[in-house]
Amino acid sequence: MTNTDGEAVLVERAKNGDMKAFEDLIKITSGRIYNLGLRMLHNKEDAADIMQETYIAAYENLPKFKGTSSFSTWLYRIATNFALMKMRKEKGRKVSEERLKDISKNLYNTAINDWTDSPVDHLKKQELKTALDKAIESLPPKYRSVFVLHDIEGLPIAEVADILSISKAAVKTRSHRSRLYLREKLSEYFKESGVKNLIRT
Amino acid sequence: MDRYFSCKDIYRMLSGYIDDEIDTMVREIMEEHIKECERCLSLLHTLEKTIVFSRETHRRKKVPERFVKKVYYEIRIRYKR
Repeated sequence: MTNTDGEAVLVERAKNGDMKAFEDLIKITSGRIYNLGLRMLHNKEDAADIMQETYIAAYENLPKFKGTSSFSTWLYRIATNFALMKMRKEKGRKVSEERLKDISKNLYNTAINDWTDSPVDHLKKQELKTALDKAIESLPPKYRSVFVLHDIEGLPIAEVADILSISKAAVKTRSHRSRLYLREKLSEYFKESGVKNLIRT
Repeated sequence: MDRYFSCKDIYRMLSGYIDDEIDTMVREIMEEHIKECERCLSLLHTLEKTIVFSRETHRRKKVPERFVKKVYYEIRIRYKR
């Protein structure tokens, strides 16, 4: 029996009022849902809130779950909607959509340095994560959700489109613009950390 | 093969290339360009590395047991028949 088959059996039992079956579904899927929240919002408490809201909404809407997508995809959709609501309330400055569109247009006039050989030790990895998280947080919610689902969660384009109820073409465009923006931010980071190293020596 | 891509064409298609969403013939023309063009090669490398770093710095963490228990508890007190 595959995971999805196992899930389907538990979903049927939970639909018939078996609370233990629903708890088993939570046990199987909570790691994925918690990490999705963590990756979208970079905060444990927010991730826990999203997880709780997701399972309460899933429990209430279970009779409406038709099984056209897998239970996990359905949960991802609910969790992503809660994450999007939280993201929209965030106070931090977001990069404008215009600016994201301009990056690919302006690439031709921008210096492109290859920093992929730069050594990244343990300490630098933490610093890099901070820089990267800050950049991911500055993406507008509709871009950040695509980037997290596709590039961090590793979900295929079609599934991301299904979760967000947008076209595959929209997923591809948002993914490309997000990647180019984050690449640019990492290029700035490596340029600055290179300068710092020069000052240290 | 007489089709040619400019750098601007390549910039537009690089994510599709990384995601393996480009058909073989177009992919080959892209590769012809990239191997001759340092800028496009650097862009491809850094774009790929951006994704690798994003994954590496966001590895899956164990969900704290207290958070899962709280979900069980909330659902039980709300819906216990």
